[in-house]
Amino acid sequence: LSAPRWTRALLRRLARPDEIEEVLGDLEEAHRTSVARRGRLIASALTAIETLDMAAALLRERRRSPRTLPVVSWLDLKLGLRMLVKHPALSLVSALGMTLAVAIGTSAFGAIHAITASRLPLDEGERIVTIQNTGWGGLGQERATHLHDLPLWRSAMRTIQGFGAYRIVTRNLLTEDGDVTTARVVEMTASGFDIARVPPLLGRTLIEADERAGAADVTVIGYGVWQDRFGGATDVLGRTLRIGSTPHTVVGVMPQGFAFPINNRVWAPLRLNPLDHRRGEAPAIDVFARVAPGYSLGDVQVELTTLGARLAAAYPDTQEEMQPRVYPYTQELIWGPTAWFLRLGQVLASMLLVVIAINVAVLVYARTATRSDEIVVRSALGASRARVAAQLFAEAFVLSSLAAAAGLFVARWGLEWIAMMAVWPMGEQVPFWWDFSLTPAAAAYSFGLAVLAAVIIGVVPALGMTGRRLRAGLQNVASRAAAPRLGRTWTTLIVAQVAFAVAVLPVGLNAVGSFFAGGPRPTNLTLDGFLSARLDFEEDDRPAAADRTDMIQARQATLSAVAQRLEAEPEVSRVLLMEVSPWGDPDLRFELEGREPPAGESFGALESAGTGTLVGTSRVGPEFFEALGVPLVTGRYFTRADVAAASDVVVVNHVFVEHALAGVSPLGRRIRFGTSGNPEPGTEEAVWYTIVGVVEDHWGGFTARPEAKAFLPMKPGGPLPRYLAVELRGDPAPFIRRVLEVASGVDPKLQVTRLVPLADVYRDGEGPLRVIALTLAALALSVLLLAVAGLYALMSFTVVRRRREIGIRAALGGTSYAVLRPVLARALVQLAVGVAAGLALAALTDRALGGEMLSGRGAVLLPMVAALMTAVGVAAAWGPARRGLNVQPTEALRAD
Amino acid sequence: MGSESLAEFELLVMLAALRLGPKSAYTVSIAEDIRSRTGRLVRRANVFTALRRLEEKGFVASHLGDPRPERGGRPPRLVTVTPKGVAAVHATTDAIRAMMADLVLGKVR
Repeated sequence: LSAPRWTRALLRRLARPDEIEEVLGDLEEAHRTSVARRGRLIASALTAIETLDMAAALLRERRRSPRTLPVVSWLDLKLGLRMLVKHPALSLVSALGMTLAVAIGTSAFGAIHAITASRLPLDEGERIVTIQNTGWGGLGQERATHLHDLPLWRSAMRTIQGFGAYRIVTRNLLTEDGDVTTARVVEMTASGFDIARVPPLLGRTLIEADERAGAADVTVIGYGVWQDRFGGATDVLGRTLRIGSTPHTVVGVMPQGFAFPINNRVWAPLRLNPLDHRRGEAPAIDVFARVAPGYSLGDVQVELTTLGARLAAAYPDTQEEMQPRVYPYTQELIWGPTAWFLRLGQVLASMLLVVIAINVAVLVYARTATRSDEIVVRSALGASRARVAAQLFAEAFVLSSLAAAAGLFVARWGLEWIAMMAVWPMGEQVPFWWDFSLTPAAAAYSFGLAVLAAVIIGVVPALGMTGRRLRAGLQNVASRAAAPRLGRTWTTLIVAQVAFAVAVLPVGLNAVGSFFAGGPRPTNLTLDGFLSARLDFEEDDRPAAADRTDMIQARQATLSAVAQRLEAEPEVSRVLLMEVSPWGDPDLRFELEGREPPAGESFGALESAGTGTLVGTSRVGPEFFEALGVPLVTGRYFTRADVAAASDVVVVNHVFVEHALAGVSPLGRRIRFGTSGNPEPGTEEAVWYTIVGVVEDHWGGFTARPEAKAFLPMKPGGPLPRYLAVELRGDPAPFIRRVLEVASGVDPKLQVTRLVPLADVYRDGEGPLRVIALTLAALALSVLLLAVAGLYALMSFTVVRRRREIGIRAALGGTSYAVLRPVLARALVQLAVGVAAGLALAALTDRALGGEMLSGRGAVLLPMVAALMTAVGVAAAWGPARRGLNVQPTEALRAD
Repeated sequence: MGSESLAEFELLVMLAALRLGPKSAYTVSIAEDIRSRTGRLVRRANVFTALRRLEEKGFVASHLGDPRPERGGRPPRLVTVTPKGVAAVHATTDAIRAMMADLVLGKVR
């Protein structure tokens, strides 16, 4: 007698939940009336037609009803807050995980935003652009064409209001009172100040007349230089600042904060005449410009392209492959692949939150699933699917927005910290417009992350629960026959997570360990009492090739003179000159005489010093070993005679003998090296060096184990020493100024930088390492947290599902063990599988990386992590299991 | 304040709902009432849609009644005409009446 089944199914599918009863009732009544009047057959046909008609009406109705997003009420938020309080452990774990993710994501966003999107803080700064030739040659080569192209650009381009150019040179700055520092001085066209539109604080800026050859040497200084070097004296104008070896008269002081074009405090006129250089071989300069009003970047590019084609036709030798391009000024440094790389980093950082949010969603789903009855009843009472989703969204949003707020707070410190550790140490190379404070954009980003997380955590499970399952659920509310199931996928996910935690955690722990141990490992060298410095010479525009030997000899003489003068100081006990720092020695390929050079091996990244084909080499003076405490094992050290006679002798270390010679006595053996430019030792007329001594190994810096080393004597005409180490009888710090004075006294073009205690040199690069270490540690922690939470959720879920079973078993007098065993077993098996897989993964990775990943601490770290994970996993599983035991049999059974 | 007026089919639905009363006016009964009185074929879907519109405008209110065996144990959605709905019916019929006054239909034809 009933209406055909398909008609019911169709209308049930199309009607809103609150309409279903009415629509099906109408269908049934109309059909039965029709059967009574016209007989079954005709009635069925009529009902079919009416059903289709009704279905169309329902569809129209559905499309017509405005799809406004259901409003989230305060009550939802209150409920969300109450849910957080009700499940404190779950909330805490989820919130911590998401806080970390938001903090990392927002820090990454902030840092990338600072680099890519900071605005030039100048008047109409967005109209300032960089113009650059690009082509197939290296960047320096391309920029070498700017000097000759600039006059044409300047005269021909209508879309540009003004051009400027600069180059940055490193120079010693010497004030009248003898104070020396090294600074990046910018040689800039006078027009640069006009383009920046910043008037001087005192005096004048550079003017065009200053650029002419033979004009007086003048300089404009920044506020900081004025304060620090001239004590903020009001009569600074007209005083002298020696830049390199040339005295310059100070003609102007720029206001505080002005550091155009990159991050500069001292400006000198750019005096380069295109006529002095051949096209394509001029000193490299950077060109910037202000776009004329009414024109866009695109207009500039069109004009440039036309000019570029003209130049290419006129000068095919140098310009054929060149294409002039215009870039927004602030993006000059981060164009093309770099920008993509940064964006990719951004996406990856955001993905972290997605991954964590999915994890949290799994956790919350376990909770949501236990509320399926509530959701089903709500739906039955007329709550639409969207309404239910909105409610769960609101609940999740309470959690995720709290996490986002906390994450934002952490990110503020994170950003400052990233800037402090990895950016500011680059000093004057950091563009002045990079702004590492937390911008509204970053706040908006973290808010966006919170919404995204809430959608993943709340809306997706809500839609899952209110879909087709809802009706099944409605029937189950009464019968309680079936409980929700945690899918196989999620179970696998939890196992994978445990495995991942076990694999990643040792790396994180190792990173944290290194971090709290004060960065790199300590060294066994004697470094106390040493002051070290880096030595550079002011580069001339182009030293003629013939002068090169003379120049090296002159510079060597300068360095010897500096060393002698320093040794004459009463506080100084010893002076060392080294080619590189004890940790910066380049790894070179070597070949032992009488032994086949290792063939067929790639010069790959995984090849590290001491594996048999590479050795770290450096040229040192005869005092090096004794001074730094490198004991002799056998043979002898270098002597001054070796250095004077340029003897072809070499001292190797213990590791080298072990690896390359398998412990056989090396004295008298001969060895030759490749160069960094030509790594194959046999391919050129490399010198054979005789091994005269073996020394003990030294270590320190970032190398976990001592590496193979070969020390060659410093030789006249050879590479210039780049490092100076001065051993002092007292505290090194007060002596810094004296070193600078002595050096500039001998040669004002000798630049002495990075004057720090030698012990600090091996901390080079520590900053970025710390950033990486702490990020890794944070990640490992969140992975651990989520793995634990996953186990916890899995257990809770299982217990809820087996509530009845547990109750009945307990009622029948089962012991706690017997009751809990089947429940716990599943979690424990998963835990075991995860831990085993994770351990295997970690051990294999570590071995593949030659023990570098865990710094040789794998034997300790891996079992530790396995034990920790097992303990934490069991604890996570135990809580819900215990709760299961407390289920009152009567209560469990009453539910039926 | 002039009341909103009703479209022709809406007026028929409203009149049927008023006639049937709040205890027995719902989609099927309204469709049947219009069919039996006017003789025209009324599509249930149209009544359903019209009732939704009228409810949105506040001319009728609705609630689920008691389950009935002839409906397969499902409840009907009973509609009550609201005072606003009554006013709309008056406004519409008054307008029709006003337009028809003095009109001799035979002549028009």
